[in-house]
Formats: sequence, structure tokens, C-alpha cells
Amino acid sequence: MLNALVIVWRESLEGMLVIGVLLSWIVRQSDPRLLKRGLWLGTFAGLLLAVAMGVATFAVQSTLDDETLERFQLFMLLVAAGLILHTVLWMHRHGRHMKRELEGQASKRAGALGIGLIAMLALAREGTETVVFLYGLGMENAGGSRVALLSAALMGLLLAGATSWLVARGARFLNYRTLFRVSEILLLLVANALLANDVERMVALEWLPPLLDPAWDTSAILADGQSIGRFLADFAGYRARPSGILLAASLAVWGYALWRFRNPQAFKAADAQS
Amino acid sequence: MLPPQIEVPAGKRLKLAIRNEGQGPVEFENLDLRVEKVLAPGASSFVVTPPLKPGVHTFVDDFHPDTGKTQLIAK
Repeated sequence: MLNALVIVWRESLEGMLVIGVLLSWIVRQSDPRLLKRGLWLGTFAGLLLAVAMGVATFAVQSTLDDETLERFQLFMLLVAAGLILHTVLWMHRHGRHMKRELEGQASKRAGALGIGLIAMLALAREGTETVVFLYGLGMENAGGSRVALLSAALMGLLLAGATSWLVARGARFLNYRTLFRVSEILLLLVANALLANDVERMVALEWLPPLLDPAWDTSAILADGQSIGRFLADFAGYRARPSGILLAASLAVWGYALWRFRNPQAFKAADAQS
Repeated sequence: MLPPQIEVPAGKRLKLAIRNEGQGPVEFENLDLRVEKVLAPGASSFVVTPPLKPGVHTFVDDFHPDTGKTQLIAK
């Protein structure tokens, strides 16, 4: 029983945290209505997508179907990682220029769309696992125990909601600069986790060579299968035995983000158009 | 879960073909190798492991921990 509660809490926490971080960023903006609407629409779409993919997981019968689903999820994760990177850069610019109101409505609409899509994809990924877990439980248990399990699962969902609400509330005590910095780093970590997951899937499908495999082994210090190591793996993309290609992809993304942060001038022309 | 043991070469990526012959859904899992795959009743699929360190790697059905396990013995 407790097991169901903990699993649902853990699986839904990441998606809800992402929403909490985005929300605490949005409410500090001068005109948050459009961004908020984007966020909630994305949340709703994400729940629908999670249920659809959960059902698809159980509908899969053959290896061929499974590869199709795998490819779809891979594509989804890749889009999500790219979108997070893009939106973090947008948030960075937007945060800087906020007081001067340099950005037009078009840029805001693009930002709202990006935020909505991130909420959708983050929820869909974690939500799918929750749906699969609950559906599996529901199929195997009947009567009283099913009701008890479902209420434990519901408790887990509520707890995850409360946890991320607390995080978003707590964020109010941070000053602007710290909050913006923290939300950017958190979102980049999530993007890194998605990317790590995606690269591993592509290596498994033999679309990418693993290169140096593994590049190092820190599993004696912090294994990535259990407790804190597992949390870091799921949330930030930590790997105890990363492959060379995974390191390369991760370095490329972080390098690109840092470079853009440091050289906002180089992209003034592009900003003016967007 | 069958077979209970397989001998495999260490230091290589492995692709395992799996099939759920039971009546309910299963989850083929080894957290240390980051393998988690849900299979519907009657479904078949595959998982790919990272290069294995020499030793015993145990896979369980996370939905039914008491129906046995499959061990990969990497040498």
C-alpha cells in the first residue's frame, strides 16, 4: 500500500516540480496571464498524452510495435529537451529585459507556447509511467484491495502536488535574481536528464555508437540505480557509468547554453526579429 | 521467469529478447543497469543492457517479485 503511494509520489513529482518552477517564474512577470494560460493548457494536454501513451504501452504486442512506440517516445524526449533549452534561453533574455518591456507580444506568445509544451511533455513522460503502474495494479487486483491501492495512489498524487506547491511557495522568498538563476539551472538539469535518457535509447536502437563505453565508473562512490543516485539520474541525468556519446551530447548542450548566457550581444539581431 | 540463469560475455552490450507468457502485465527490471520494460500479456519486446561488469546481474519482474528471477552471469 505504502509502496503504491511512494511510487506515484516519486513518478509524478518531477512533472509537477517542472510546473512549479515555471509557475513561480511566470508569476513574477509583469503580465503573466498569457504565460499562465499556456502553462495550464500544456498541463491538461500532458495528462491526456500520459493516459494515451500508458494505454499504448499495454496495447503493444510485438517487438515491431514496441520499436515504433520507442521511436515516438524518443522523438518526444528530444523535442522536450530542445524546447527546454530554447525556453530557458528565452526566459533568460526575458528576465533581463523585463523592466524595460522591450519584448513585443509575439515574443510573449512564443514564450507561452514553449512553456505550455514543456509542461505537456514533462507531465506526459512521468505520467505515462504512473498510468502504466496504476493500470497494471488495477488489472491484477480486484474489489477491496483495488480500492485501497487506488486511494493510496491518489494520496501519492496529492502529496506530489503539495510538495511542488510548497516549492513554488518557497520560491517567493527568493529575490528575483536568485529565483531566475535557480529556475534556469533546474530546467537545464531536467533537459540534461531527458537528453541522457534519449541518447541511451538511441544507443540501444543502434542509431548512435556508444563510443567510449563506459567513459568512467563512479558506481563505487554513487551508484545510479538506488536512492539518491537514482533521484539524480532521473532528475538531472547523472550516470555512474556514462558512455562517451552521452558525455559528448551533455557537454554540447551545457556548453551551448553557457555560451549563449555569456554572449547575449551576439544574438541581438535574432532577438529583434523574434 | 525463465531461464533462471544465462552465461554472457562481460564488457559487451547485450540485447535481450523478452516475452510475457503470463496472464497479467509484467515489468522486466534491473535498476542498476537502468532496464525497465513493461510488457502486456502475450507481448514481446527487447531491452539493451550497458556493457556488463563481470559478476551476477539479476533481473526481476517488478510487478511480481515472487515469481522468480533471471540472472545474467557475466564472465
